[in-house]
Amino acid sequence: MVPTVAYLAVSAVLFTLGVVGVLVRRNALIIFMSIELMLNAVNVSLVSFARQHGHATGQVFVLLILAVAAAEVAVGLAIILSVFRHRDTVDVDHVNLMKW
Amino acid sequence: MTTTWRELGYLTPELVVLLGAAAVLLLDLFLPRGRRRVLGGVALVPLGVALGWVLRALWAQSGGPSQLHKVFGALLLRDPYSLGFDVVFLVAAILGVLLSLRYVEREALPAGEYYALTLFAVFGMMMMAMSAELITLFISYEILSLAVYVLAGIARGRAVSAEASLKYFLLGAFASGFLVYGIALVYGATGTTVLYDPLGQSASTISGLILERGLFGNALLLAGLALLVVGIAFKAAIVPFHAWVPDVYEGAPLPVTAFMSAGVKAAAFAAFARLLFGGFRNLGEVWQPVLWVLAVLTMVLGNAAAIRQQNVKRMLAYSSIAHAGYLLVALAAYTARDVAIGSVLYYALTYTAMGVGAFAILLVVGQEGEANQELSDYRGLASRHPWAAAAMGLFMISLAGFPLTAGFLGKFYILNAALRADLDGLAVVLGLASVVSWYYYLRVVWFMYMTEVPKAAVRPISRATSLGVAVAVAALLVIALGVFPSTALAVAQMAGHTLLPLGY
Amino acid sequence: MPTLTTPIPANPAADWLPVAVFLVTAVLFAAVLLWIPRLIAPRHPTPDKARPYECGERVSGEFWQQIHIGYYLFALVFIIFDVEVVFLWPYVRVLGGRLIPQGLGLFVFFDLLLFVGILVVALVYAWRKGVLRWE
Repeated sequence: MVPTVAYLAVSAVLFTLGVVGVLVRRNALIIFMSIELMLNAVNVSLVSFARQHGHATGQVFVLLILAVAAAEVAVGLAIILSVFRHRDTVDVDHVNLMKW
Repeated sequence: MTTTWRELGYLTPELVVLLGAAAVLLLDLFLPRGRRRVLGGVALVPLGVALGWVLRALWAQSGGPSQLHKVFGALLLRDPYSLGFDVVFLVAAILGVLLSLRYVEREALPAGEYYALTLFAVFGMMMMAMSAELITLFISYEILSLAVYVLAGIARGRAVSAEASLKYFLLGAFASGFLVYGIALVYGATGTTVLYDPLGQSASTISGLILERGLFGNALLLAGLALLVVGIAFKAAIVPFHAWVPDVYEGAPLPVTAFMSAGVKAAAFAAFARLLFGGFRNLGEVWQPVLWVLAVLTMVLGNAAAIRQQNVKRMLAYSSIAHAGYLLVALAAYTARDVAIGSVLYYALTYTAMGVGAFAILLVVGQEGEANQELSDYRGLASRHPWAAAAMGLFMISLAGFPLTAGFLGKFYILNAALRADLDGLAVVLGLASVVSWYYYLRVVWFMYMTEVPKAAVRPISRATSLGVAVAVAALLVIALGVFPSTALAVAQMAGHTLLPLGY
Repeated sequence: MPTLTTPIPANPAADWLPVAVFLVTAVLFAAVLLWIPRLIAPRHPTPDKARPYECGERVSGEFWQQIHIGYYLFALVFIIFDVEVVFLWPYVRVLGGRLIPQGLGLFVFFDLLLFVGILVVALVYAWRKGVLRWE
């Protein structure tokens, strides 16, 4: 049996990758994708915790996170699009009408 | 059978707001284009009804024993605490809608979406104050956040608005990633997501299990708590998670900024207090020093940055960070929690009145496309428009914390809690920070009353009735809370007592 | 306790070995399937046959072109139904099974109606805004 710690390690690595992606990349779309990666990393831990505890709370939470992530995608893409229409770029370094 | 229906009944104000949002959205689709101005009025109806229900429920409990109901298991709690915060959210939303009526029309914003999203955001806030379980907390947090991301960027024609929305969204989604990870780790460490049981019936809650299993030094749990704090501190605009605040507040449409600065922050603090004083009450020694540091950072940086601003909207944005710091002082005073939680609620209400009031004056003075927000635009305001200047002066001295205003009493109760918890150092920092804040608040007053402009440079102001009503309501609230605080304070204290430990 | 206590059986067979077997099988299976036609199929390539398959239509334009923004809106509407199914099933499975025997059928129905109703509002909104019309 694969120990829970292994899943948690994968999840932590994925989460860290997401965080690094957000901090390092400058393209708003890629940043956004990194954020989704973070959420899915959390899903991995939740499912493994749910199995460890032997009840479904964590799994239900995963479903809810998926729904929230879907809503976030809908809103996020619209926002990125509306910025693109103004600036013709989604590079966050160029989105600087105000002090960042 | 009846219990379940009754549980739904406890959610009346939330459901009214939710159905109101759906109604506004649908009405917008079927109304002819010219009639859409009524939507703002329509949006006021559910807000008013919900406020009436909440006040009646609070009134029924004042003096008597406070009532506490679990809804849907223990996912949500209908207690005086959530009712008290509902008042804050609803007042902020009503004032926000009043500010928007003219603005939405003038800037040609999509009215249906605007008011529906406002109502959705209020719904999220109300759920957030009620939630006593982490998954519910996360969902309400996201309902609130998604609505506000869009509201910040709803002026699609203005590049700054779109930009504010993008920054808010990217950083907000980043923060919510931390929040969910925190929830996952806490769930992993304890095996439950229920924060605490207010009736002391069940020990299998986070607070109960921490005691029972002695999880005080559990690495998983502590890491989870830290991530939760990061996620919520972001929404509450706490340094060092405040990077988005000035830009978003400056770029978002003014009424949205007003609503956000009061409502979103209050919601974040409502959840924060429930989280710390409820679920993690037994880890107070761990989180108190963290809050201590955050509070000092927030007060110092917020005030230091506000001093340098020439743009009044931006100045208010930074000063709202400082006010988040004052609220944090109350949260840090956890050994005096019998007064600390009440003072958070009281301060949230006073900040709503004076903060939204100040933004309302910005709308009165400001013109199309968000012009006239520089400090210099306030030159000689007193001689041109004495009423607007008087109201602005009132809001400024209240924000600065002068005696006989709501702001003074709010700070007084927070200081009281801090001193009772032996946080003398924090109290001193709060006092010094307030003194610093006098400079930039009083500078506005000085510009209004002590400087003159040539007649030719005099600009007109907005005289919309709705704006006038909003300013009057906010000003009356500031005065009432400052001069006759006893009722509001008693209610706040009662609400705060709901979070005190009863068993688990 | 609001925890949904559907037990998840601990699976003793969840070992690394099945994963390895699965991986090897998958690779072998794909390789064999690709290899068999090479052995037995006749090959007479013509220009028409070499073209990418697009449901019988003649290929027009490049593959790396921009995708119409309308697809984005369609995808959003899809989310409405997506979310609906994801939540209706567990809801019926767990709460329906527990509450209907208690005589709370009407409550469950009303609850679901509220949920679906909110999603319908979203759908009506999309419909009136013209998302469902392809232009």
